[in-house]
Amino acid sequence: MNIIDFSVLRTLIIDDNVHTRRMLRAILHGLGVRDIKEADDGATGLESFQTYSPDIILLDWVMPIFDGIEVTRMVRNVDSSPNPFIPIIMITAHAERHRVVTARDAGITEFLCKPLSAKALHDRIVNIVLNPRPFVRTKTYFGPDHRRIATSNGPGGKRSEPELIDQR
Amino acid sequence: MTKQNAAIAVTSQSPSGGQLIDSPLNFRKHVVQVTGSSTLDMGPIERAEKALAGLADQFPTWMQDEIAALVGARAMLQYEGLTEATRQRIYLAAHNLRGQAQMMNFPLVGTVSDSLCNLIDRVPIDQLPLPIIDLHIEAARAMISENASGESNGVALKLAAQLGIASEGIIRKSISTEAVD
Repeated sequence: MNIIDFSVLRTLIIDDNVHTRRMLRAILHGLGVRDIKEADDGATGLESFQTYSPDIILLDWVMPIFDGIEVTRMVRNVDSSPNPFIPIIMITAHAERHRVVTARDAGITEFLCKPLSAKALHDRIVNIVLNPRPFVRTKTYFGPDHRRIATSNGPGGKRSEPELIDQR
Repeated sequence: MTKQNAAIAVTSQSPSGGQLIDSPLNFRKHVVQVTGSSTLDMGPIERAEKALAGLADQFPTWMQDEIAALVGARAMLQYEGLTEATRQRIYLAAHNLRGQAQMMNFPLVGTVSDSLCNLIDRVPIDQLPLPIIDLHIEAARAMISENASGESNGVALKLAAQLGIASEGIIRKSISTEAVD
């Protein structure tokens, strides 16, 4: 079987709330992640994204300066971003469906609704590592392919080739 | 950092120009093959839950910090008046509270701050009722200071429910006014 070696996962937490950052850090440490950087607003987070070269970003939505949606759009900008493919997990207290759709359309990889749980964060990281999504580029979107894909192998099985259609 | 968009490999293309692209990121180095283990690796999750539980004795202090931020935002509103900036500041403080209250074992503070966020988010700024905002803040503050936010606390439960009803009523009225206009 495959398990994840979390110790080599470079993780950037972008969240303005110090308590949330401490809880995320505790969960990540528990999972085995050793390389963690924190940023307390969107602008600092973008700077860290450029200089720290994380493997994955944990991103808050509501923040001063740049919010999580703006940060996601900048990270996914293929003309200016150093790594537009980086997985982004948006962690937020926003649970409304229209918010989830907005986040998805900005290009997040996974959505994690608060309250935080160790299992929920673990499962999303595992999904990112074991089942990376292909990306889609249209005139108005660049980001992970969020279309539901039927697989013949069941949950955890290999993705089948999706029919290519524009997301918008 | 290596620029990852330098060599984007398009795997297929639709007639309308949409492209499907395989990510060049390689996570294989994070995957370790093991044999003889159970099919579900619960070790990391259990360790993470334990690490989180280790913070629990700090939660009451953290909640005091969060409610202080909300009370401070309310004081700023009183000083500067209801503007987009003061509205945003109250919303941010209430949003932080709703995101953390349940995890920090104050579930009804989460319910009250969720109601407050909905109110601020959905009612136009010129129709926001300050007395109802104040009632939400006072309720959350009292629940934290009295450590009375468990769902078994009948008074707190009733208060949270009534604030939710009041908030929903104002939102509905606001939406119907908007529809008439």
